Amino acid sequence: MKDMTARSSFAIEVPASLLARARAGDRAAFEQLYRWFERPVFTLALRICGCRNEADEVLQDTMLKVLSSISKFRGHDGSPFWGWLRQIAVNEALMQLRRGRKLSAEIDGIDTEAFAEDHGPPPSAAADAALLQRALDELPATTRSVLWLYHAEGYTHEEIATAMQRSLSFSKSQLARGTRRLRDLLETPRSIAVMHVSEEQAHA
Amino acid sequence: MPDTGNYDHDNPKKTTPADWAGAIAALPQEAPTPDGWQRLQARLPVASPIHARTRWPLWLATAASLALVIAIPLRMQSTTTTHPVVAPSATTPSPEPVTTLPATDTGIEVASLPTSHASLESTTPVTPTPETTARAREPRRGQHVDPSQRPIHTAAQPADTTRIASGEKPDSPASRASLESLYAQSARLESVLALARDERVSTGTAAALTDTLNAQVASIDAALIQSNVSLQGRTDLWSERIDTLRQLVGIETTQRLYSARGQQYDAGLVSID
Repeated sequence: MKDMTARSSFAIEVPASLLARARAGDRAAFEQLYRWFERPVFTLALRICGCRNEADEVLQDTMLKVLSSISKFRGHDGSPFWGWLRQIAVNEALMQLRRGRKLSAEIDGIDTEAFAEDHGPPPSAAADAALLQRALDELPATTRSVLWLYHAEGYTHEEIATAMQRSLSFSKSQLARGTRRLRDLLETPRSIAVMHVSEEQAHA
Repeated sequence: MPDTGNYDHDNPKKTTPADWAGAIAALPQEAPTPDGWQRLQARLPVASPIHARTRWPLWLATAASLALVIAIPLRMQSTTTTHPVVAPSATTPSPEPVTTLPATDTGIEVASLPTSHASLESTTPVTPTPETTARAREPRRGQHVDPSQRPIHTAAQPADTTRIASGEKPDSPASRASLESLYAQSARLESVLALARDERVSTGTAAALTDTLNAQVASIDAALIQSNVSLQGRTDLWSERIDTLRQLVGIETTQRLYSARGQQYDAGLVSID
């Protein structure tokens, strides 16, 4: 894994005593764990699924799985609890995408040029959270998931490929293409805004 | 007014992120619906094997809670009207109150015994000797006290019902009868409270509430041990004490009932980040 885990909102150190209580079936300890991790799980699920209802479902399924199988977590080789929980959340979110048949939604094409990663600084519009979120929402679900796992959670291409059951080159190309698309969207923010205004008017 | 998309993204005051990871990771976290934990709780397994051994069976807890909820108002009603323990001293005051327990026990300790409903009826004010009162106030080192049977007093040296009862000289037989009635009600409520209290089912909000009420009882007790309180003042204080104890009993029994149903007493929880 890349050395970016510190950026992950999941990186919460859980005291051993709390884990022990949760393993013993203590509901208060369960609730504590839920309160700590509900937002990171929900945010991850929302970024991957792009829908609050589905993200909510992912949150429920993830936490249910975590709490019902917490006795299986042993933390061997120093792996933290949050890493284990995050892996379950990622799997559940990707499963939700599969159920909605959205996992095939990606930016097409794999070529050599597509692997060229965008290392340049993002446009200044990326500092605007609302604008960046809208631009991310414009991306296909799979492409957005790759970007999120790579940039926000610090996953490697190998890990992304494994989680999505795809090839390494798939992960690389989606990252490169997705980043380029994101840059385009942010460099012409008015186009996103105009599009959303017309959507709102259509719904009104 | 619709969002026109004027995000002012060229504002130099905004810090442009150094890389994509920084920009994406800086996005604010999203909040799920607030009832998520309640819904998850309903889907969790009912009880783990460890707790199954230590907790009451669901039906027993429900039945006990219901019985307490029904019994308390009935007991209170009967005490204020025709309870035999309250009446006698009004006309023929006996030199010593009726004692149904060994002289070494105080009213508080009677309350802490796991009594049945029938035994509650025989709980009457007891006249302790100074030695036994002092002994009762001292903590018994090395002796484990079950939280459910712990006396409610936590403030400094509060008075117990019987000690105050024995120490005062009422002005008239009627006043004495009234006070005796209050003593009996107070002792009975403490008995019920000892039975109802179970810290395993307590929640943060309920614990804070009971702590406040316990402190209130302790302050009333502190006021009662003052020698310059008038008879009317004592009556008022005892009434206030009974009212506070009733609230405590209500909270404890409701908590048990909620717990037996798999619900939570708290109206809402907040997360402290």
